[in-house]
Amino acid sequence: MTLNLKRLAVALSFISFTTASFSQIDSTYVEEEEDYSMYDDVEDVGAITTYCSPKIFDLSPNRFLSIGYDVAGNGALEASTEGAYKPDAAVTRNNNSDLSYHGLRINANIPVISESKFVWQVGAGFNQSRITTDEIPNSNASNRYALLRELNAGLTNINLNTTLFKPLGEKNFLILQLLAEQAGNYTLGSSTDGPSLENTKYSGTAIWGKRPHDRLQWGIGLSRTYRAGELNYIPVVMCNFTAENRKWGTEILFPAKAFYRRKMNARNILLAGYELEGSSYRLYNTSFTSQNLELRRSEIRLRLDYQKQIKGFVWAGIQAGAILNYSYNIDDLDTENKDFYRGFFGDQTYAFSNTLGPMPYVNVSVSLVSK
Amino acid sequence: MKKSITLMGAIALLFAISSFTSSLVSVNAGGDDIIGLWEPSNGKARVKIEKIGSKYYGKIVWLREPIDPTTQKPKVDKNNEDAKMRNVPLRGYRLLKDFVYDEESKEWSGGTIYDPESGSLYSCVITMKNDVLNIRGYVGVKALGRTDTWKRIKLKKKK
Amino acid sequence: MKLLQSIALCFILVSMTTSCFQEANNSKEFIINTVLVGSGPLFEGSNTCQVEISSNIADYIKENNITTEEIVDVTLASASVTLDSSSSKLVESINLQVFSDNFPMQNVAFANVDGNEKVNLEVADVQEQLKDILFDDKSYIIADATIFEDLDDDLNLNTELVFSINYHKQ
Repeated sequence: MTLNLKRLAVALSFISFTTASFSQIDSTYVEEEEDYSMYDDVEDVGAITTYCSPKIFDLSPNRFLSIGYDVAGNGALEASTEGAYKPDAAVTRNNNSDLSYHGLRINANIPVISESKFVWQVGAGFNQSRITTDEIPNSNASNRYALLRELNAGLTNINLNTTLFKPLGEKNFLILQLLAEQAGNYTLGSSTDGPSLENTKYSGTAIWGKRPHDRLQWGIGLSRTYRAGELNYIPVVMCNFTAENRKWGTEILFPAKAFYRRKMNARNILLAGYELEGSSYRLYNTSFTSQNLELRRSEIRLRLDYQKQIKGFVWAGIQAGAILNYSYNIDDLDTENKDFYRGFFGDQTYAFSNTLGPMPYVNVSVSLVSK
Repeated sequence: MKKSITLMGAIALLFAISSFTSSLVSVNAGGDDIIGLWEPSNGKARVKIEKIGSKYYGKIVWLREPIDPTTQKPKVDKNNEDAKMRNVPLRGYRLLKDFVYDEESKEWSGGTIYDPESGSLYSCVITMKNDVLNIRGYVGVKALGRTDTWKRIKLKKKK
Repeated sequence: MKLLQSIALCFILVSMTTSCFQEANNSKEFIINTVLVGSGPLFEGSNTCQVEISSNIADYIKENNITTEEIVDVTLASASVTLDSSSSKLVESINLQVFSDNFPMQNVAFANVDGNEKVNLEVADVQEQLKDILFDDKSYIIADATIFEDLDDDLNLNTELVFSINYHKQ
């Protein structure tokens, strides 16, 4: 009896070993055929809340990394001498020169947390405007071209930003955006002409919104911003919309930007509209009396923006349009070196009252995107 | 002597039985946990994940809005990069492809997830906790991606 | 002597580089005839018919004096499915895919049936890794067949895939 048991054990061991060796081999797989209508009637096993998406159908791609080159040409600069000028006051300005800008623009937006219930992105940007002008007369006695000379190093803007998107259930959401930027006529890496931390500008936007369906999201909020060149607090309205035929839509964050979107297909889109760009640029080491000068630079960029997929997630973009100058005045922050709030109704004086004429511009870029 | 042989035989038999039963269980027991019916967080589709060969695939078996409002016909893969593949119906479409289960990291990786809305194919990695899947689609590196949460569902028993 | 050695090395390097980027100057047809079966009962909607194949492409190229190194790529030139008369009225569309254990699934062809018994499928423009799939130990051909109504019997898709082996011969 015992011996039989032993033989049986050995035999089973052998069988089990060989079965184990072949159990991984999946010969011709036969799928159970299914009645698709049965999937209408299901019950949950787990419990998960549904959250609204940060996107809607056919929105222009979200750019993880973007490298571009911007060229704007021949706007007539008229500058006052250093003084004290009330906003909108009549000012005698000298016809300086025609300005052109060109420079590199690099932006990165990396998702730190990107889930259904919370999205957190961190970004950085680098914008440079190298300025070229007509030949400046070599006259030390005249202050006439002083501003142009100070802009010779160009204008640089570097920033760090973060965006938080928090869905509040299936239809509502909150957006919070924060930005810290260093803008000025500085030279990166220089100990004497480099940016100073105390001149960092802080901006932010908070929006509460609704996403009633896959083709519409809208919101209202408040923004602390330097887009108009100087510190301002303004309400904002967001409206991203796609038409039912999926051919056109809007991408609006008023008053910062507003675009009409036309979709040729999933890989080619055209945007038409405007964007308000600007910041307050610190002028370092100038020849002027005051050494705490801020150039309040702001411009409205009207443009056509064509974006096309090159391959996979690499897209190219080309923008062409006109720049309308909104502000090119300069403020003196005095010895306290503390920025102040003028808003739309303040009457603090400007140190320089300047105008810059309209100019055409082109921007080409390559981006790594996610749709 | 008789007793020791009996004991040895019993041990051998126990070993044989346990080997035999373990051989009936797939070596990829952990991997096969993903097989079943799942619903993405937006509730717009249901996906059946199955195993073909040694890899896992997910097929759309239900759409909340199966008809394209612009054509009034069943939705097709109209945003596919390949123009010749744009009439493939979305119901039955293999959204998830080529996932291989890694025992060590307890994740299904090496696969892709397709987004019919944009016609984009993302690299993808899947992890599971209880009856919830974390599906992370990404571009190039995992950091450049988004995670969606899918819940397991089952068919209601017919009365 | 050193000069000759340098020239020889340059020649070898150039040859190696150019061989990586050779264009095909020859082509051979490789045909797979098989039956993809969807076991009934089948239901209205998309149903999977499939077959596992152990492609004998390695033997085929050997018979035709082609080495694997000479092969530039393998593309699907045409795909057709023959249905019987009842199936042709039942099947709405066929989507063909191929994959193997070690290489990803590819959508290779699609057609709306339109009541025809012989269906010539539209071959995808984007074709990747078909060579790797066919040379792999185990490959699978899958057809997602959408049918108009329920079917109690099996659905047999007599499938012919014509691959083009594009190679470079010195």
